[in-house]
Amino acid sequence: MVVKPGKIWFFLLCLSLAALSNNMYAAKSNQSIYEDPYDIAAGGASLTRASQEGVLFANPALMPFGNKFFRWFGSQFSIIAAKDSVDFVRSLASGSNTSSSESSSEEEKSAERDEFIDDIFTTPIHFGTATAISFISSHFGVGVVSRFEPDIKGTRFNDTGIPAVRAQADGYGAGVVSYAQKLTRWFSVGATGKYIYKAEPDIQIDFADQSKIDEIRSDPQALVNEVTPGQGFGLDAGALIFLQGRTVDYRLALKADDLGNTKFTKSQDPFRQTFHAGLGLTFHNSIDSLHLSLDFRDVTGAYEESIVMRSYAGAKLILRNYIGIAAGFYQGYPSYGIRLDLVLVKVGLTYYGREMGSFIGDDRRDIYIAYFGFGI
Amino acid sequence: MSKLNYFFGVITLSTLCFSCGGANIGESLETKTPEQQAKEKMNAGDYQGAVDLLEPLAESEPEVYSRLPLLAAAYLAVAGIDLISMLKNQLSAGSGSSVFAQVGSFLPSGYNRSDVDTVKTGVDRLKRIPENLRGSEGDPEYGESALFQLILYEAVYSSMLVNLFIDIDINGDIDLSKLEEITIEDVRNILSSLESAQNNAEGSSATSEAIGETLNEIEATEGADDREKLINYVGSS
Repeated sequence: MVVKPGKIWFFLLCLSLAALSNNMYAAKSNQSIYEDPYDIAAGGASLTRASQEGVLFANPALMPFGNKFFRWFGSQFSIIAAKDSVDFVRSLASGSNTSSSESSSEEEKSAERDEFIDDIFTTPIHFGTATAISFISSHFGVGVVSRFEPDIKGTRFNDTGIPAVRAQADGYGAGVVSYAQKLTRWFSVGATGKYIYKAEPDIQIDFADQSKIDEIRSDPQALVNEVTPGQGFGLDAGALIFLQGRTVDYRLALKADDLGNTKFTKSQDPFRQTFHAGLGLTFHNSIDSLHLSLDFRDVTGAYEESIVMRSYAGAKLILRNYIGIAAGFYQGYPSYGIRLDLVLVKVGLTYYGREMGSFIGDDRRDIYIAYFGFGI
Repeated sequence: MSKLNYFFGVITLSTLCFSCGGANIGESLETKTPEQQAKEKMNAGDYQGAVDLLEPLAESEPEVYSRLPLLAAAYLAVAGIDLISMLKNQLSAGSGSSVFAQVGSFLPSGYNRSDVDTVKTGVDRLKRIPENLRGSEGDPEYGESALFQLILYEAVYSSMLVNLFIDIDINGDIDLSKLEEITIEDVRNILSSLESAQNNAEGSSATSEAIGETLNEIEATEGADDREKLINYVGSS
């Protein structure tokens, strides 16, 4: 038989395959919509100790415990990229796009197409940015944050056995106001009111739809157009027991996020009410400290995630008040980082592992965050 | 105080070194479902391992249909069918005629009867899913995938079976003596599988028409019975 394929019924059959829903972890679950990169380096365990604007989201009850009335006023910018996506981000920055280059012969075009398809299924694209501006005192805090973090990856066999390309993004903008008060020398409470602008696109692109994949890869921001963003108001409340000693401190934190569920306009899924508990132990002298912490989030299992996905643990070592080294386990995956707190400038690097699949070990990303802050 | 600093350093460095290990420390604590384990095996290239895991469950829990599309995909992968390679070939393809020709270009080289039977087993597993659960109106989790796979695998099965009897001689012509070895039972299986694919593809008119066209062409070919018609159709292609 002379093999002359071509009537593209198979292609059309592929295109007729609609999006399949799967329970994946990328959209907001027990995690906060914004986490300080240094807190992420310490395994994301921030209920008992958080950095800068991270306090407003991690636990506002942390604010009254500190030596200064003014704790932080400034901004921070983060660039986020998965290890595999560095080359891709570089090509975006330089304005080049490997998939759009012109080729003369059919063979070259075919080879390029094959390379493009292989690339989709082997190299995830995960990158983004986060920006925060905040003012935090010992009782009051206000902040504005935004984060956009798209993720595009093909899977040879999805949950039902067929190839799929999944494009999703964490897209949030938020304005928050926090207030906290010590009720006793060792006990504080705090609350954060928040306005959130939320876009969590999560689409499954047919693996045969090369033009769509190319479009999304060339301009991941276009992913937001796949959903209608929603807006909503929410409230978090936290409490902290802080037993301070001469060289050792003990901390116990309890927090409720999204009290009564944070509902959004435009039919976006609500953020579910969750309860968290954290333990902290700090060894310190006058200028150095080591903080060990363990958070267990979503105690009641509102998001129906596994115990590992709700667990965060880590250590933060602060040397001479300006060098920070952190390491931990973020949802079981290793994390580490370093931060320098200079007079007006803060810079740092964080690495952490993140699960993007439907179970632990399914689809891991190794993510790096470089950040730069300016403030006092 | 130097002792305390030393203690700090040891604890932090230990955590750092331990965390640099790479794997998720909680993975061993998680109990993965058989489907999750099978998916892991398949993405690691251990297709037979996925079959060995899911097949006993498909027998012992026949009412759990959700794992059957994954099991069918595992069978096809064992037989050497790779959907991504199929996609690459499809996009590189020129114009063509019959379903056999179109699908034939996607098939792995050097497959044997055992591989064809493996594909048939995959098709049979998909057929265990009740018709009302397949497709966009069926189960929201696996319905569409099940129907997509069923149509495709039925066409793949027919084409593989036909291609088993096709040898090209040094002049580029089909060796008709090899084609004569095809049995009436094989022909029945080929045609019934194509008819089933056509019926299942009713929602996708282009697919249904393409398969229907091939079936009509076979029917219109001269021959005393279906076997002769198919031999003449393939021989004249």
